[in-house]
Amino acid sequence: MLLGILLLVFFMVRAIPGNPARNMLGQRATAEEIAKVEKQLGLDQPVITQFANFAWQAVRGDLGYSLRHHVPVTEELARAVPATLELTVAAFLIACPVGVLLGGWSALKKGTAADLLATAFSLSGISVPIFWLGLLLILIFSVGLEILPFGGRSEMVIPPYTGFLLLDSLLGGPPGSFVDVLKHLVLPALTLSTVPTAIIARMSRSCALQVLDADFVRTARAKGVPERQVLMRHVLPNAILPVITVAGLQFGYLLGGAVLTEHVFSWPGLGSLLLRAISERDYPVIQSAVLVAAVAFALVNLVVDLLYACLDPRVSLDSDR
Amino acid sequence: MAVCCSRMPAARFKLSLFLLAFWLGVGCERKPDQIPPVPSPAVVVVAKPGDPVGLDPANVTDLESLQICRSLYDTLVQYEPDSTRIMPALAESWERSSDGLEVTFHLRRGVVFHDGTPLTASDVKANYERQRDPEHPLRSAGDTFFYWNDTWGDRIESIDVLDEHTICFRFNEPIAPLMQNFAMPFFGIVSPRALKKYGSDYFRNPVGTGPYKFENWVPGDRLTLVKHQESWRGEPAVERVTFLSIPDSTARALRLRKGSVHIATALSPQSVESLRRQPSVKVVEQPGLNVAFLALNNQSTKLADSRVRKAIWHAVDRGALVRGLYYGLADQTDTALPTGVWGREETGSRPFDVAKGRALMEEAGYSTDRRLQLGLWYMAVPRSYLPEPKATAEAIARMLEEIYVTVDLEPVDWGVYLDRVGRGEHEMALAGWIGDHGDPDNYFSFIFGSANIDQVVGGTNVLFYTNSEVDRLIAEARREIDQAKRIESYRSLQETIFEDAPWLPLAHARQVVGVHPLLQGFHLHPTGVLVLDELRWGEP
Repeated sequence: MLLGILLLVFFMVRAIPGNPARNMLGQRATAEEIAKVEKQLGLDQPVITQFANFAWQAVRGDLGYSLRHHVPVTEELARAVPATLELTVAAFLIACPVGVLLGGWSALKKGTAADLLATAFSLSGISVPIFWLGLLLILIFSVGLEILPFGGRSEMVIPPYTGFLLLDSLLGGPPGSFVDVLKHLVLPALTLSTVPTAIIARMSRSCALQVLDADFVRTARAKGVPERQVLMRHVLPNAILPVITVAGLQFGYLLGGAVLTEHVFSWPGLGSLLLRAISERDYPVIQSAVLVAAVAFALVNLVVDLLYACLDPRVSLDSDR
Repeated sequence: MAVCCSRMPAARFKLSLFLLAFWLGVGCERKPDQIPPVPSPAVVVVAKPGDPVGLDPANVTDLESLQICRSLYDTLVQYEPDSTRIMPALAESWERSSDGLEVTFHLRRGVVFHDGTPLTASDVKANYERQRDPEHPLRSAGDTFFYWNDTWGDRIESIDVLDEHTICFRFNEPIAPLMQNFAMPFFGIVSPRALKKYGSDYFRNPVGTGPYKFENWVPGDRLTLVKHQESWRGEPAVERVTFLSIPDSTARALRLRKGSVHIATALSPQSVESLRRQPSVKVVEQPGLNVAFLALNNQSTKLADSRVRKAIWHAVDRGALVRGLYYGLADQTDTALPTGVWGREETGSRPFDVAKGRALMEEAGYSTDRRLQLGLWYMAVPRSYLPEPKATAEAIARMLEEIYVTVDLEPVDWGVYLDRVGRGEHEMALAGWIGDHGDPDNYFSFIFGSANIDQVVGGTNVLFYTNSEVDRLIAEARREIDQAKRIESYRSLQETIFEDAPWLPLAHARQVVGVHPLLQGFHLHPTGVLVLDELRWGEP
């Protein structure tokens, strides 16, 4: 699978029109100058040779050098991936509980004003453009109320022990840096969480409605099981399984780089890196960033499959059964 | 809906209305901001759209890097803060031989690098030799020295150190914009000792003689400089300058308004109008060194007739384009040289006159029954000289319809735009040129010189215009050292080009930067570089 991803990424990146050497040298570059830079960058070799070099280096953990910034791509990724991961986890910590609660509440209040409100919220969460919402939140909380920062990860310089600034601020940041990092995280995480919250809420609602209508729930109620227990012990475990699949997929998508959110909030993550690399035709960075995102997506799906086996006794990892 | 309203309690309904009103109220910007307080200690935060590529001036071409390099390094001579006229920098005086083949610089005494070592003529020689000599020991893998060939090529014959503070450059032909070349930021003097120490990692460990020295760089986030106390310009009044990477233009403008940044660059023209109304922001404008134009491919048979090209001039209402699509932040033009560049002369004018344009087209054989079909390319992303390429192309297409021209609009990805337009695949294309140092040669030779036509990899003469008289005048002015004679050559050149009408010049876009109203000593140079040498905070 990894080879397939490598192949796809490598050739897709080269299918983007444009020449990195021309991009670096600008309008006045001569044929000789372009050829010289192409040679320096190894772009004068046949594509197959370039791919073989890339694949051989990639499996050894060497993703090459950024054509534009001349630093190892792994160094760029080591900065961007923790930033994106931190943001994604924060967004996910908002999206999962809010989405499940909203969807469940909406299912329980089916047909009422509350249900309509929750549905409207979910629909607007899916439909509202992220960049617009991000700017609106900045207008309200940063410009209007002046309680949250505009963007970036922190106003302070924090030694990058792990790249996860929340953790780094605890490990050795200046006083007050943890709160500062947390404040910087709120708006981008809130913005990024809107789409997954809405999708999880829609999924939770439909799954909960299905389960609420099931025979075993009616039986439990008929037996006089308290409603709270019906919901927690019978409805939730059965309704949550498809929600986990959807939530896992959403997590995978977000890991791929929340380009718009990162752009609006000047968040130096994978999305920002990818955007910059595409505009500069920085092939090694583009292919490595896409590769990381693809691998992360596959890993998240694997984790979701494993979780299934833990949560649903009907699913077994044992192939004999 | 009736169910919804009947079941929603009144209090909740009112709360919803309040929240909605609050959202809308915040967005409406009814009351202007207050002037943000002056930060203490004296720091200045600059918001820029991106990170620098590197901090080795010889290896960068992007504005983000050059803006920071300007504060880190000094050149032998420098531009005045608001123009491209030359003034002393590391060299306090110089003499040029009468034949123009030699220049001797006398270096300022007591200049020290950020690492405390003194600047000598040998350091200057090492900097130039490093770019000139492919075998120089201070070269590293990845060095490209993009501007060396364009600026000097093989025209430097020798560089001789006469004593510790005197250096002589000898050339094998006269170079008219010589001092402008020496002032270009790519030739900022870096510490040879730091180059040796850091090798290919120098780009993130810069050591120069500029007013600020490097402190730290968190890629994708911020880069901080601290004042160089031993700067030959005198100790800067500002302790630290932090450059923040904020890619979104609106976010930069909002942060400027609230005072969390003090200088914001690359503001969109749309946001400038709203910023002008804020007392918390001072908008600084500066004519740029750019020219935006409609490139007419003179090799296309459809555009070979000069009457057709002249008709296009008359049909396009460039004043309307400046007002509507540059938001007034540009100067309409009839020549290549931007406002403020010496030698500029609008030798003629073809005003917006549809009737005249139509008459010229009729003379060329076109009518409502025989329309001319032309393709018009535009870039898919805004450029500093053209903030709204798509709308500009659409407006031009609409205007040309009036003179029997049917335009096929085609957006082209910026990644391949220069290549394809440079190879002449277009009939008409929106294009632009940004001058390096304000010397007229830097415009005329690149835009109109036939030597810059290259149909294989793409050249800079995207008009595919060849005129031996124009080539002769360009070469003559380039060799001439007497500025009065050069001005005369450029006047003839502008006359000839105007008569031929090989292009349609549109406008020179102005550069705009937002600044905290109490920040003083800030200069926005015509090259787009920020001059921060004399920054200081004024009294509230």
